[in-house]
Amino acid sequence: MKSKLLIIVLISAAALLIGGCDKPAPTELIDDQSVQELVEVEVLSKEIEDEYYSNGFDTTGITQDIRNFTGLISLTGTRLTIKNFDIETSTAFGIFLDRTKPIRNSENEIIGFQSFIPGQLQINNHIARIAPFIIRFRDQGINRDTTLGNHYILFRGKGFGDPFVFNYNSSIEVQFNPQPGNQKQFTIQTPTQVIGNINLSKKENKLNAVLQWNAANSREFEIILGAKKKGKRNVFPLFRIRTRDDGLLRIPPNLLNSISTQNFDAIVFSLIRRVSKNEPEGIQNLTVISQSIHTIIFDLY
Amino acid sequence: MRFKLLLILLVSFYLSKNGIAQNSFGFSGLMNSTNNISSLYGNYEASQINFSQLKDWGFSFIYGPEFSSSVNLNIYSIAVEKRFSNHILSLRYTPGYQKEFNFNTASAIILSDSTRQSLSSKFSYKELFGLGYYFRFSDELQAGFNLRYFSQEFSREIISPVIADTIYLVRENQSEKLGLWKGELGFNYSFSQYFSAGISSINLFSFSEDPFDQELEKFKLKTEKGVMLTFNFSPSRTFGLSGIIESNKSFQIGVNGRITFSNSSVGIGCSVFHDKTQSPFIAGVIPSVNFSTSFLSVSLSGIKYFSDRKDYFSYGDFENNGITNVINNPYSFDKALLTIAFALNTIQEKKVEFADVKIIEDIYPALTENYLNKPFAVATVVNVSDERVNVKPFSRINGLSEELIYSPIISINPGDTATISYFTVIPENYAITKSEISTADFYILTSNEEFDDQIQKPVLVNGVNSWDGDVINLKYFIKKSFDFSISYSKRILSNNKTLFDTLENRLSDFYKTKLIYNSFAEAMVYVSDPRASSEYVQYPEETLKLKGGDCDDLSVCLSSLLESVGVATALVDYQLGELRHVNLLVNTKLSPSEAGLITSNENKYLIRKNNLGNDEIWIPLEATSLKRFEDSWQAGAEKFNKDALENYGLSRGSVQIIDVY
Amino acid sequence: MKSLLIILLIFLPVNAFGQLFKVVKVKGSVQGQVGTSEKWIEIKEGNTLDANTMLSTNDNSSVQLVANDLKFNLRESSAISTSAIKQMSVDELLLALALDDMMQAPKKNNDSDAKNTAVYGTNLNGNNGVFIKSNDFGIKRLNGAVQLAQVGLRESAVATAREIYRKYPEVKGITAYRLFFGQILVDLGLYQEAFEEYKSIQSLKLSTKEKEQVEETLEMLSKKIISEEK
Repeated sequence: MKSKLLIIVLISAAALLIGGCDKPAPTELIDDQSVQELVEVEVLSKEIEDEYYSNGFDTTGITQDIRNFTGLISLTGTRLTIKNFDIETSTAFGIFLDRTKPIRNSENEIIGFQSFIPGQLQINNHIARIAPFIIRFRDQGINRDTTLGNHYILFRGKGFGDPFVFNYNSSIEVQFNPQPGNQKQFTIQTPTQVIGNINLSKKENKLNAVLQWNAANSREFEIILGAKKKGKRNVFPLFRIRTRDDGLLRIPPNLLNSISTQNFDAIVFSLIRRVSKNEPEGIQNLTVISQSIHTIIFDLY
Repeated sequence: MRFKLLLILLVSFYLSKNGIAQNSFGFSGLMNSTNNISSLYGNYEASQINFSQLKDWGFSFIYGPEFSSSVNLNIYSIAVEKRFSNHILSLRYTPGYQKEFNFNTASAIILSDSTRQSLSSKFSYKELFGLGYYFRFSDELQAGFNLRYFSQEFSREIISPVIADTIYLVRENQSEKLGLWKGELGFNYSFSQYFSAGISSINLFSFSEDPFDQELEKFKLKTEKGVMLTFNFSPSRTFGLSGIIESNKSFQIGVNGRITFSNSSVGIGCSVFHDKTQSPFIAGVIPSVNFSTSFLSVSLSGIKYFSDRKDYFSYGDFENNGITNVINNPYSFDKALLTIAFALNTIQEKKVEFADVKIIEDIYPALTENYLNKPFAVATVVNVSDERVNVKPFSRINGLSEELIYSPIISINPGDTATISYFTVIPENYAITKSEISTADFYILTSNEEFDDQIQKPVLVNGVNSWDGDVINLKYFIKKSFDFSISYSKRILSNNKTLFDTLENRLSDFYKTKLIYNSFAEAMVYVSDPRASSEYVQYPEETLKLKGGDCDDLSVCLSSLLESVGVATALVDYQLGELRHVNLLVNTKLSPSEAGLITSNENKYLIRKNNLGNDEIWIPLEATSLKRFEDSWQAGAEKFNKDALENYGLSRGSVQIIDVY
Repeated sequence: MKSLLIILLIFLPVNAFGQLFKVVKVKGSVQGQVGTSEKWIEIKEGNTLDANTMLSTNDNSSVQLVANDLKFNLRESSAISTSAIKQMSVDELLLALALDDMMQAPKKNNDSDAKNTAVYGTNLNGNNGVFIKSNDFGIKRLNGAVQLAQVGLRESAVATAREIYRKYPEVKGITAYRLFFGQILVDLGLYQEAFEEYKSIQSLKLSTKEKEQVEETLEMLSKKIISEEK
């Protein structure tokens, strides 16, 4: 009697052991309080030999791939920090592309579209200059320069250049006189100037970077991680990191450490706070952005 | 002194700490803590002290579904326990004691086609196994200690760039596994059969590995120290109330009832718990039913939480508070549980035990049959079981015999104490003349297998010539070497064959006595009392060989010679103050009216009734006189008349007549 | 009650050794046997006898003894041991009666009294005497015992009678003696012992008168015993 019962128990125990061994269900967590660091990373330069932009990332930090736009007006206030020197510049840039006229490389890949000048562009009552838009691209292993056409430009360095000055936490008036067409006029808010600070430390031969900046909780904030090629002036934007404008970001160490000292001699962090506006005053296919960029350059040793 | 101070500091440290969660949570509620029913072995949660009624091996496992958005079946724990007298060791494997959290972070990789690959994190907590040790100081006080091993694994996806000719980003899984040991200590004290209370530590000590990534530190299982107090109040076998309160004010209270049948019982119980980390105030309820026999216990229980256990929880709350308990935390789901526990006994259960054994008689090997009727030792035996048992006592006197000698079986009621008599048998060929202290092993047995208890006592085994001074026991010396006496006496009688041919038959016993006596007295060349001690008696053969002896030796020898030819004798024991003397009575088998055939003096004989009721003439003989038969008779009669009759020695008890057969 | 008494009695001091008797007068033929001697000797006036001498008188013979202040006359056809001529206490009597029990190994019930009972003519000597003229030593001894009672040594008389009945079982059937000594037990207040004795007498061959007497006594004794026990 006793042993019989025992056998039943043992057999049922064995059956349970074999038959029913799930894993307890996990609990799903969601970040409803935005406590986690938001880090969205995007690769900007797929090929490090690709020198895509002629106007230089180091000075403007403009990294928009113009291939995504038809019309773009970009107003930028830049602060560049190199070895405790700060240089502030203001840039206004405008370009209109004819999406029907792509320009291809020898491998028939689209590298851009032909640009055109649809009329006059005034920024804060300063008439934008018209200049050729040259891009550099890599074709069959060789860097080649080509012009897409003309574009609008205003640039002011510290105390020189065009009269346009980027006013932070204010607004900029844009006046567009299409030929033909009626004059369109609109303003765009400018963001609070972003001023950052980077704590770069090295532990076990690994770089660790914590970025701090004056948080403004703006809607668009991103950090471009770039690098300066050895012996060259140009800076390559490598990764775009989209994060919250909360004043603090620990750069994913993997990204930082992927920048090898073999190819690069400086790391460039660009903190970008941006306001953008699509199709102002009903102007189709036009995007206007105003942005504050603080670019900090560190030498790699 | 320093140790005491440290202890006080530690205790106050525990008590001052707050904010820890319900640590005492067990799957079976508080059902198992009443009425000595072990529904679960290796229950480390509710108490560190699980000194159960387990006799040998115990096994238990818990199995059941968990109700989240899906239903998952889990084996929660498998435990084994083993008892070694006052120690119990337990080992528990807990595959189902685990909790995992998935977190899809806001971070992502943006691909060139603008699609997002978001990064996720995983937090996994597992209690893998535990070791328990319990010790029973007394029926009232028990202590327990357990050590549990946890594994915590935190994994998260990070962005990892691959830089070759082209650059691209991949999600790389990074994980850290941290071990955690937790040790607890507790004590339990039974104030009465109705009330017991205990105190146990919470996170008495914990050893945890540190994560490489400091950020992960906050996800580690919380191990703040505390104490918990437990109580169990069972005013009857049918009702019990128990509770646990922790120093952080989390508590658990359970009531249960039990109906007991002949060899099984059914219990029903319900406990509720308040957990500091959970809401509402009463966070949940654990109902349970249990069926138990002496070796099997099956429980069905469930855990129902009163707060909504939704599909999604806030990451922020989790990051801020973490969890303190793997199986009971704000994220735990409702469960149903089947708990099966069974005991396996490979060792015989002790049903009776010795309270004491007293040697009441030294062993005199000469007194062969004496110990068949008279116990040489008496044991006090207690029935410690809950049933009536038949106890078979047996013993062995070392040096006397190799054999185990069984004594009569006695029956003892549960809880009763009985006196058991140990008898023994002297081997016929025992011939050691030296007395020595030996040992006797006493056993009691209730089944046919192993004995329940054993005890050893020193016992004096005397030499084969030793005598306990009781004249009754001289019989044994008389009966020994009977073959020798027969041949000795027959030789004497055959030498006087002619006398018996002419003799009246009714006088044959009288003349046999006369002839044997005279021959015996002649053979004794000197009257000596070599040992002058009543503790040493010669066997007839030895007396004839030594040609002498004291009154015991001579009476024994003469009696043996007479008995061997069918003449009935009796020993007369005279105890007159310090003086002791032994002589003989001999049955002539003559009737009182035939007295004149042997004497003209009524003072020289006495009348005794035989067992048919007939009167027979007995004559007293003094074996030590060693003169002619008539002198011995006269001396014997005078001594008997004076001490036994005139001074009423027989009535007063100072003179005793002991028939040899 | 009785057993308690015996336990107490065990601690009584052993009676002092007997005294010497002086033969002051002899009539006819009187023999004596000393101690365990096999010889009978002629007793003469002026002899000094020790305490263990068996005296026996023939027909028309008698002997008179003196010891200290005690005077004893043994009549014809009687026998007595000098050791019996003494004042005994009731306690000593009980010890003597107990002795009788000790000597009877098997059960007492197996009384073989009635078997070989010769019927003797009795010569009732008033209410306080029994006498049978006989040469039987047992009867002579009984006569001697009766005389002890007649001089007031009742306890010794009963004790002696018991001894005689033990050694000469054939005289147990003579009812007159039995009733005589039985009555002494009653007179001494030893009801239990008297009851047992009368029970034993009841099984003998009795005359109608004796039967009535025995039954009346038994009834009386049982009442006494019951009231004593209460």
